[in-house]
Amino acid sequence: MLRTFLAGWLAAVFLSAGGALGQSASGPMVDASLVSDRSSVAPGETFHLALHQDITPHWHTYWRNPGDSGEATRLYLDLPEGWSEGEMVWPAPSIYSLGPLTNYGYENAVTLPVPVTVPADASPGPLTITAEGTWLVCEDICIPEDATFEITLQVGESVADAQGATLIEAAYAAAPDGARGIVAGLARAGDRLALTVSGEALSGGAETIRNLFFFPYEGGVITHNAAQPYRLEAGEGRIDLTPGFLTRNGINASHRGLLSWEERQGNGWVRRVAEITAGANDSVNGLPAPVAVQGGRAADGGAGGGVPAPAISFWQAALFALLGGLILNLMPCVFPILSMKALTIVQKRGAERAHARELGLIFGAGVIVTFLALGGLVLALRGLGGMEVWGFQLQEPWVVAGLAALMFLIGLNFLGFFEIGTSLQGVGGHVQGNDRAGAFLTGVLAVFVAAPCLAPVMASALAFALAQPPLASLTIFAFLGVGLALPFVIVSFEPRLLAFLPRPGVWMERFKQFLAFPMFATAIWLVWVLSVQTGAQGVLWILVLFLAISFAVWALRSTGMLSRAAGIAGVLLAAGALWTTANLEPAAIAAGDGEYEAWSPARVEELRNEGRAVFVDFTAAWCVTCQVNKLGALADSRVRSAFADNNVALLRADFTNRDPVIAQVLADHGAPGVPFYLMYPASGGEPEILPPLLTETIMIRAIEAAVRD
Amino acid sequence: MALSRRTFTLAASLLAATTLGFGAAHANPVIGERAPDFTATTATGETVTLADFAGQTVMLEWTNHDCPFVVRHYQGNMQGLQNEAAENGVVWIQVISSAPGEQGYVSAERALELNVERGANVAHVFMDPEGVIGRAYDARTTPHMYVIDGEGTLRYNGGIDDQPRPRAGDPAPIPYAQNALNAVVAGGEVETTETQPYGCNVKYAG
Repeated sequence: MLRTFLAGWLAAVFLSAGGALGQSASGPMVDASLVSDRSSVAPGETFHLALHQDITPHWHTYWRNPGDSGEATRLYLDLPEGWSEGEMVWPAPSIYSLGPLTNYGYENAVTLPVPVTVPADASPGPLTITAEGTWLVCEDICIPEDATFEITLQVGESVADAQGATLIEAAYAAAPDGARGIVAGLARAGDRLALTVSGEALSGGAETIRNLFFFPYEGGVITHNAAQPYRLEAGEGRIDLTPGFLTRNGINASHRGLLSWEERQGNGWVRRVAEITAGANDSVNGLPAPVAVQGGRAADGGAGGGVPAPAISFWQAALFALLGGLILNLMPCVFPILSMKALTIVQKRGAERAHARELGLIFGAGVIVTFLALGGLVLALRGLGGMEVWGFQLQEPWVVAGLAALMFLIGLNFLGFFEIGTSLQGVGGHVQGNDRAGAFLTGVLAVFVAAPCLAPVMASALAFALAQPPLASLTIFAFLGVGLALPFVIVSFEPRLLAFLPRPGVWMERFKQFLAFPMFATAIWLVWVLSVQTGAQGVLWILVLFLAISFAVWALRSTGMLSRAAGIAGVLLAAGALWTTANLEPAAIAAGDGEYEAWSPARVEELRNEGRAVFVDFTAAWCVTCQVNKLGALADSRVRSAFADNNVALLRADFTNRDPVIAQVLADHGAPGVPFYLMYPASGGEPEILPPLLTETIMIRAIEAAVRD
Repeated sequence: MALSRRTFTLAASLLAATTLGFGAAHANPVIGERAPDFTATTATGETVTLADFAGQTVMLEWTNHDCPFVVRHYQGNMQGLQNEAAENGVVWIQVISSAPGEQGYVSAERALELNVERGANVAHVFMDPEGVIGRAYDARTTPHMYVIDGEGTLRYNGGIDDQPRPRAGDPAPIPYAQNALNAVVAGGEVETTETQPYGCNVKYAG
């Protein structure tokens, strides 16, 4: 606080005394000097003049790209006729984070050398060179400072200046010495940039190399405060960056920058840097997108290596997961089940209240355990090289058929067609242990019935979760479970929250029956998904499955021998039907219907060679958002006539069934799944990635942009 | 049908906003798209939203009266731009996102007083001590300028000009913000829509 006050006061003095920026006076926060590595220079040689700054502790000056704010330090040399200067040498910077902002710069002290070449015909004798330095120095507040310098050198023999040479050598040692054999490329990967780097210098694995980080020389190339997750394997690295305004709409130029990493030496780590030039790359190298946020810090072993604020903190992600879980309670698949459970609690009185609380907690445990198990399964599949793209479970016809049958069965139960052991109306009369198992199983069931709603709606959220290290990703899954379980658990503790409900009575039975219909609606949707996946055969077998299940349930309501036998026959028939569905050949999906042709990478090439803009719709029957877009923005008459007027070729890639080619394209663009839309401009160049939720305005703009020039 | 589709889309957007809103590092406002909405308390105590300025061109100027870069521009340049803008019917708004205790944080009365002292000519001063508007716009420096057209579309985001520190003999600065504002007022296309802003960092809370 005192420091802030003092600095403010100094700034005020500086400003009132100096007027604007620009009066020459060594500022109060930086003690600057002009140093040379030669006290005497020989004609024809190249030596260095350097601006050396001693910076007040906790304050910093800026690198060539200052980051989100600030100003790069400058040195203006007033050289005699015939003398020439090269580019300033910038030691690798540290990272400073202030709130949401990230800056690149230096603390304590820095030397910034400029190579100067003496002309061969320089006349011997003493020579005075003047220079002006300007810089911004900031802590909480910023002070622009500047100073003029004078240095007198001899022209004649080449004689080193020990003190200056030491400073300048140290600056060179901390600055990049060329590319160190590293080849770099920059490509769009979804809404991010993939910087790929390869070279001998990076050949160590994660045990010997860490903290890979990219500092662009120019502002606007990347979003400075975004995390830089990376992957490094045998000399090849990939850093995922968030585009800045220069790269958001495509990469039109090569971008120079500093690649920084740390290399193990004995028990410690040493910072290494290289200057790389990343040209626009058509495709990323073989490395998949980084999964673990390992980067995000460019430590320099010295003071002040800050950490850029991560894009989204773990706790934010957990909070989103919690919200997502809460929202799931309202989904048509889940709401009926939970409402029924809640109603049973309304009826509990007296001593049973404690029991209700216990059941609430057991239910919560059931939900969370199931989510963790699902998360673990997905992680394990990923580890085994399974499909990374979320939503894949709905690509299996038997999963779709099984879920449809489950929905149908629950609907029948709600209609009162049959009762389950732990009756939803169970007011006592049941063994308590049985009740507990029932509560746990309801938790498990809630997650399973939530699954079809979960995958399409939460694809990106889950993809984020899966991009974390295993423990963090499981925690996010757990939070999803907490969110799903929370309303019910709260109600079980405080049933008065349901006081607005009428007294238990006949209405509850009617309400329960009504809730059967959302379940049937979900079943109808799943049957439709199956019909797209497997064609008419699938529909036949799923209806047989429904028939067999309802028959089995009806038969098993009676305890007679004959009924039992019939029931078992029904169960077997149901199993057979499910088995048949599982083995159906996937239908050839007519991705091209109406104005859309079926997608293939070759077709995209062909159409682009004709000079047409190309729109690709990556979709799937099980993807709700895709259907919203298809019926909404994409069906809009203005959008359709804009497509036609501008001769935009329309392709559709259907991901309803497994398709490794589509999966690869999605992965290349960093997309977690469908919906995914690409608009290739007519003039060539990178395609634009459209947002997952389309509107008429977005589409019209994208079409106009694609056919411009 | 149209209505129900809209409702459905709205509900889906809501879900998408909750669940898909993960990827972006910060919610960068996008040129050519709707400018981030805001509900602001002005120094005169009014509450205004972006929608209140429909049909009018808006200039947002992030400011911190003690920041030397702001001080330099308020030696005449900024007032000149503001007067020209006012003549063209532009709504010029200063936004103060400095947190309490940080440089540039002032009371509403003081903010108005400062403008009288400097001869600033602005329609509103937004008091944003929690940085809500600042973060929504990803405002990074003082000054940091944004131009929003009458349809609420963001047309410019960046620095006031291209010279953090003009020196004697330098060519005249390129006044990016002024150029963008004039283009929008004239109903034309903005040539340079985004630049790297320079100046003091916005003194956000936290």
